[in-house]
Amino acid sequence: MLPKLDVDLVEIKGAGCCGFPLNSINNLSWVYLTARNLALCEDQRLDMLPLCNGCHLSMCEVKQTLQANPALKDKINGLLASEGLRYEGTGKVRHIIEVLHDDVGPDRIRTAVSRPMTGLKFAAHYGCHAIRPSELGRPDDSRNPTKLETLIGALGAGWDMYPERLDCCGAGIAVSAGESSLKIAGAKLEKVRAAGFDGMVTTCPFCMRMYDARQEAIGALLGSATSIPVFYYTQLLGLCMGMDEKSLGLHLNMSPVNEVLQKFQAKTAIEQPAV
Amino acid sequence: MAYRLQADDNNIIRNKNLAHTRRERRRSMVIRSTDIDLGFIHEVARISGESVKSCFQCGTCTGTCPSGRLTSLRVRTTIRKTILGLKKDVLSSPAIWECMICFKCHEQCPRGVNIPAVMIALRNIAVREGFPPPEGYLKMAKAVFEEGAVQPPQEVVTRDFESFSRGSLNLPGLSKPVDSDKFSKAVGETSLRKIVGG
Repeated sequence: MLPKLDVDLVEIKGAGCCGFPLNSINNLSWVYLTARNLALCEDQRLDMLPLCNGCHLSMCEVKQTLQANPALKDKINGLLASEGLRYEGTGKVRHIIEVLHDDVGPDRIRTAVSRPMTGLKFAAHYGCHAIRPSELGRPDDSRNPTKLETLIGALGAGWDMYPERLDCCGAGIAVSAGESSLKIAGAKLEKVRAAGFDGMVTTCPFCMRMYDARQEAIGALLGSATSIPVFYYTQLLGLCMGMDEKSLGLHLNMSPVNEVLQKFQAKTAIEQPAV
Repeated sequence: MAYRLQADDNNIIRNKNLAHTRRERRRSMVIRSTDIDLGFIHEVARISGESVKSCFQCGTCTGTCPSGRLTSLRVRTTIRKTILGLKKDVLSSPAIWECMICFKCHEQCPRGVNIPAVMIALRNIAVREGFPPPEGYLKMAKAVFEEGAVQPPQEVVTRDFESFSRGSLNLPGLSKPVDSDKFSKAVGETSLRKIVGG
């Protein structure tokens, strides 16, 4: 749906992982891996659009680190030289919430929406690294972010504040304390479900993995009502712009998204009988 | 604290035992000079770039920590022990690996300490000093050498138990690092290979 909103996407050839988890065991390898991707992007003179909050933080942090530490920058460039790459720090790193809210804008989205999602209410989940740490310049305010809610509103859908809105998905300790990480994700799912939302919306793949793909495991572990449809914001945007479910990968969501899809289809069928 | 011994033999034995365990507990709480590494705090401060010493132990971090509610992580305790120089105690503790790097504590810290940066510095020092990280981290590091990513592309299974690869979803294949030899060599040079043991 991004090309339809005049955002062109180009694949970065040869891109690897941002290396965020490796920061914990070897700081330098993380700086190298992230700087390598940034250098590849600079090579094509494009802005970077990492979809994951963690990758976005990684890239912003490495950019800041290398700007503040020229000696480290020289060292990294020495390592990158074997691939003929060079990191300068000229490319921008963008976040999907930023692109949709600040560049495309809610008004443009409102006009692009052909099938508004009225009557459905969603809980926005930003994910930690989209809003924290605030001093690094995150896409939205750390205490009271509103951009994702605005974007949900632009689809004609409802949203509401809830106390657990800014809580972590728990993915950060999936490796070191798996059960606790599921409990942390489950606590939020329980609350979102109890608050009467039709579904949960996020943009981060790592949060998505916790809430969507691991939802069944969370339910089995906690033995409580945690089942709730979870979507990427872009999936809902595509639906409202009239794209078909398969091309949006909605058959790949592991959470019970059919509940929302059926309500949405029934509604649009009444409003637009010709289609 | 004095213990009043009772005339009853059983009570004497019980109270003696009580006094004994209390003494033991107190002894275990004593910090010995041999446990202290005075350089530790400076090392942590240098690697993290944070003035850890400015912590005045208010405990806001522990109060905001979503992980600590379920795990052994007590942020204030960890920071205090770091300041005291209890290197082995801190580095061998699973707590430093139980931080989710969610930055909630950092946003609230009245002294402006970037605690996640401190935790990451502690993890880096722990690995360097030979305290093993959780198995998953080593697996991810290995995958970086082999696939250029902590998680290689996988098939997905839908909620209707159909499985799809990128190809069957008409998605372009993911490009691997341009030259995996050069890539691997450069990553190896960052001393990651030594940790993985490859």
